Amino acid sequence: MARLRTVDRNAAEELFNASYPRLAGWVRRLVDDDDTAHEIASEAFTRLLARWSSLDSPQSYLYMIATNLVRDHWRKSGRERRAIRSLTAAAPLDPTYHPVQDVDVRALIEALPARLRSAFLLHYYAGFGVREVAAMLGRPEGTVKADLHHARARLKAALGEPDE
Amino acid sequence: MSDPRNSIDAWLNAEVEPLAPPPGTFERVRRRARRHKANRALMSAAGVVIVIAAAVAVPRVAGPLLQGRGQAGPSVAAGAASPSAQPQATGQGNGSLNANSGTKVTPPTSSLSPGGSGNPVPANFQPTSVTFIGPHIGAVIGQAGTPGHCATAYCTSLAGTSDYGTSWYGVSAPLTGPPSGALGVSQIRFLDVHDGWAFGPQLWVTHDGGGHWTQEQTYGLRVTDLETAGDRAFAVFATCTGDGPGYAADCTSFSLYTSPASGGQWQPVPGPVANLQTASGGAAASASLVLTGDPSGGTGYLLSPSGALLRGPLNGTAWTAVNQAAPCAPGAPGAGGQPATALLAGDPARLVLVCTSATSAAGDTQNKTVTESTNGGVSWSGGGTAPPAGLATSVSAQGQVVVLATDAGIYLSGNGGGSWRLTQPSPAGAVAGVPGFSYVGMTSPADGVALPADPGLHEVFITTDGGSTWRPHLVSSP
Repeated sequence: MARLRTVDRNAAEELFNASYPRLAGWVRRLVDDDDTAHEIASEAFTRLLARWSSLDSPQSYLYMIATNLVRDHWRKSGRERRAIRSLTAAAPLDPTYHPVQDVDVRALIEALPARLRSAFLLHYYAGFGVREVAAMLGRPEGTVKADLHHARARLKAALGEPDE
Repeated sequence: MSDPRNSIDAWLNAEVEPLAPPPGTFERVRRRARRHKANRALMSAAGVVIVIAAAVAVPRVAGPLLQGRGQAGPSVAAGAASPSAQPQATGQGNGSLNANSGTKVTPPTSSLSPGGSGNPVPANFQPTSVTFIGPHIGAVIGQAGTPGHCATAYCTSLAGTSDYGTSWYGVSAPLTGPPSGALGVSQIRFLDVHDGWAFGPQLWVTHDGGGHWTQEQTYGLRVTDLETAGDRAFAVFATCTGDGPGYAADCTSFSLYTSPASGGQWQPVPGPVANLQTASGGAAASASLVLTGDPSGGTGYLLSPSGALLRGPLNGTAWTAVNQAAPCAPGAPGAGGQPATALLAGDPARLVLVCTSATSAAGDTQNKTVTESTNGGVSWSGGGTAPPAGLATSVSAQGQVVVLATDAGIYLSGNGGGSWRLTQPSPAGAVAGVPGFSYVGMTSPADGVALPADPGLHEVFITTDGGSTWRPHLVSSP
C-alpha cells in the first residue's frame, strides 16, 4: 500500500513538472494575469490529484477543469459583458497583428457561446485532436467539427475577416 | 509578420509561453488534494448518517430503504432524485420519505461526467433504455431497488458510463415512476454531458448531466419517441389511452414537437407534422423518428402512422412530406412505443426500412423485407430479406452495416441487408416470455449497444467490431 502511494506520488509529480508550466502559460493567455493563471492551474491540479486513482486520461481532465475554471473566472470578472460590448462597438481594427490584439481575440473568445468556446479552446488552443475533444466533452466527433467551424466563422466575422 | 487579415490564426499559432510554478506549488497542491479527498469521504459518511436518522424516525419506510441501498451507503440510491425536482412530485407523495417523516431528505445529486460521479449504481438496476453520446460516455435508465422501498416514492434510477459500458456509476434520476398510463418514464436520450431527456410517457429534462431534472409541459399528450442532434431535441407527442406499461398503446394522433437543447418551451414543428393519424383514423398506431445529424446541420425523418414519410432540417423550421407511401406503415407499437411493423434507421447517406409481416401461428417467425433509400426517402429499392426467425424490435444502420434486434437475437448484415447472420443469440438467462433484445443502436460503424428485452438481466450488450461479436456488461458497481 505504501509502495502504491509512492508510485502514485511520483507519477503525479512527474505529470505536474511536465504539464504545469504549459497549462499555466495557456491559462495566462486567457486571463492575462500571472496570479490568476497560477491560481487556476493549481486548482486544476488539486482537483486532478484528488481523483487521481480513478482517471484514465489525466491530461484531458486537467485541461477540461482549467477550461471550466477560466470560464468561471470570466463570468466573475464580467469580461463576457465587456466582450459583447466590444463586439457591438464596431471599433476600427488595427490592420497589423501585434500582441496587444491578444486582448481583442480573447474578448471575442470569451463572448462565444459556451458550447462553441469549450471545443474551440481545447482543440485550437490546447492542441487536443477532434476525437479527444469529442471524448472530453461527450459529444459526437461530427458535432465537435461543426462547433469548431461555427466558432471560427463567428470570430472571423466579428473581426471582419473573410471566412476560409 | 502575420497576415494582417488573419489575427485569429496569428493568435492561435502564437507559442504558449510556459509559466513556471512558484516554489512549493506541488506540495501545496498535494495537501489541498488530500483535504479534498478527506472532505469527500466526510460528506459520504454524512449522507449515511442522514439516512440512518430518517430510519429512526420512520422505521416502516426507511428500514427497507437501507436494505435496498446495500451496505455501502451510496449517495445515489434507487429512486434518488434531484432536490429541485421534488416539489413537483412529492405532491402525490404517499409512501414518500419526505411526506411521512416531515424531515427534508435531499439526496446529493450526481451527474453524467467523463470522470464519473464517484457514486455507485443502485442495486438491482433493471435498464429499459440506453443512450450513448460518443465513443465513451453513455447512460441507462430503469427501475432499481425494490418497488415500494426506494429512497423516494419512486424507484426510477439512472446509471452512467465513461468507458462504453465496461463500468457504471450512479446518476440522479427524475422523480417519477415507471410507465403507467400517462405517468412515469422509461426511455433516455442525452445530447452531450449536459443536456438530456427522460421520456415515455412523461417528459423530463436536465441541463446539468442528470444532476437536476424538471418535468416539461406536454399539454396532456404522451411522448412516445424522442431524438436529439445538433442543438435541438425533437419528440413525438401523442394522444393515447393505453394503461399501465402500455402507455403507447391505443394512440390515435401524433405530432412532432421541438425544443432547443439548452432549454425553452416545446413548440410544434411547422409543416404537415401535426395530428398525424392512420389512413383509417383508427387506433393502435405508432410513429418513428430518426435524426441523421451531420456537420452541415442534418436531417430528420418522421414515418407517420399512415406510412407517409416526412422530413426536415434540425433547426426548428418547417418539415415537408417527401413520400406519401413509404414501403410500409409503422403499425401498432412494440416495446417502448416503437413501431412493430416498420423499423426505420439511417445515416446521412442512406435510410433503411425493415418491413415485417404478421407473426406466424407459432408466434416465433415473421417475414422481414429490407428496403433502402439513398435520396432521403423519395424512392426506395429492395435491399434483401432478413432471416424469418424472431420478431424484429429495433434496427440500426451505419453505412452498409445493418444490425437488427429480434426476440431471437441480433442479426448482422454487412452489405446493406443483402445477407445476414446471427451474431448474438437471445441471452440465456432471460425469463420466459421476454426473450431476445428490445433495442440495438450503432454509435459508429464499429461500436454499438443492445438492450436485452428482459431488464431483469441487469445487462447491456456492447460490440466494438461492427456487430460481429457482443459482450454483456452488468449495469452495476464493481
